[in-house]
Amino acid sequence: MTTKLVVSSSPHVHSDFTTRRIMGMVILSLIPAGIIGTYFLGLRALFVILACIIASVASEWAWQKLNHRKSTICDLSAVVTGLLLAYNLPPTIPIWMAVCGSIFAIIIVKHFYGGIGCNIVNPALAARAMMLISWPTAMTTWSVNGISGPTPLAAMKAGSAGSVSYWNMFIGNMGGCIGETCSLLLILGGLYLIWEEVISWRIPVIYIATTAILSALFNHGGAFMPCSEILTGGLLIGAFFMATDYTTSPMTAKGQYIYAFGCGLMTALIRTWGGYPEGVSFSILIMNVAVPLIDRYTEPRVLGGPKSNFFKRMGAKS
Amino acid sequence: MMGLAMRSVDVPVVKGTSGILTLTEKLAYIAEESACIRCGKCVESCPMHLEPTLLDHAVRRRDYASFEAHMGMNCIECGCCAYSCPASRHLTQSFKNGKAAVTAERRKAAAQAKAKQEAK
Repeated sequence: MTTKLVVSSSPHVHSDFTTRRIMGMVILSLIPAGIIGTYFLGLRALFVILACIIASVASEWAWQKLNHRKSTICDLSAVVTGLLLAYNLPPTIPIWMAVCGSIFAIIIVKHFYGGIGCNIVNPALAARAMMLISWPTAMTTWSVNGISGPTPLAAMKAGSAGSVSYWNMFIGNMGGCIGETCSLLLILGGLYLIWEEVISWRIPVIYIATTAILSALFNHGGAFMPCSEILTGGLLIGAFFMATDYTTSPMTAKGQYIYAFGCGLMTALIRTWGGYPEGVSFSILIMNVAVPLIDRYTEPRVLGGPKSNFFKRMGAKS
Repeated sequence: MMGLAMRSVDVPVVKGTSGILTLTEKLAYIAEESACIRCGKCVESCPMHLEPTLLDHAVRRRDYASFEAHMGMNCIECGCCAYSCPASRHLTQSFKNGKAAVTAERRKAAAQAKAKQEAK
């Protein structure tokens, strides 16, 4: 734009809410949990986080360079993906596996489907699922202060109540992935995002409540323990930061209720009867795939118009 | 938000003029569009309960049937969606084009129907 006279369509003002600013706020809200994770799990956690971020950004840059596309690394979405992936890895993971996971997340899950806004599942979660299946031992070896042991959720799965107190669960002094252990800071980070209106309260609140209530009802762990359901495993980071990913969650309020309930139901089912102790990543991935359908069913009614255009179009096709 | 950009300062102020906005250099720019991230802010902000992002995709594909099926003709061009869009997509502009295209198609169809009837 060289001319000073700009004749454009209305509106001529624009909010300062940009993609980059949203991603920046997400990163900001995630940093404290990472610091605490590094504090409890050792300095190696920090290297895993840095490796994931660098690998994500580098692979996004390289992919777009190779395809002669405009680089989108400046919108910080690759940083968020790398950060979230690292937070879902145990601190003992070999660095090369973390790098492989990041490349998978960015190139296969994100850019094969068309880049930001077009991926059908959450890149960080899909990469975690891939790594969990490819390297099950490396992905499920936990250690706190040099002592390896099962996570509280794995202990619950095995039928024992576990030896970690609620306080240690709350501040993050327990076995687990780098960023998922410190419940306190994850909740604060999530509240910050809700306060800044980056995410709405609907998905996290409904998701967490559904999981806690249902898995308590299903008698998971042999006792009524809704609090440890919330404080252990990846539920908090999943509900606040992963399930609320814009691209892979429904756009309408009604759709978000259905989606969050579905996530909670799947998590409770997997935790209670599934093969893995942890169900958050798989349940969010499954609901991600259901999002286009949810979006079509919950299309808002305009001027009291037809109930859903979806049914009309289905009828017209048959 | 709904005002028209003026090409020159010679445009007179008339009875219907409700206000004049002069924007600073910082405000008067055409933001560069980036990809839709499906955040749903446009859906939340639309006073007509439309889904602007779907309508925008329809117009970009020139799929005006889909634009109509998603009730695009009910857009009141208030600009709330374009204001709130983090990807700075030119939504209102897109709907103006979409509505014009649908109206033109309807007019054409009506003219054809009329010609057919007269031929009988």
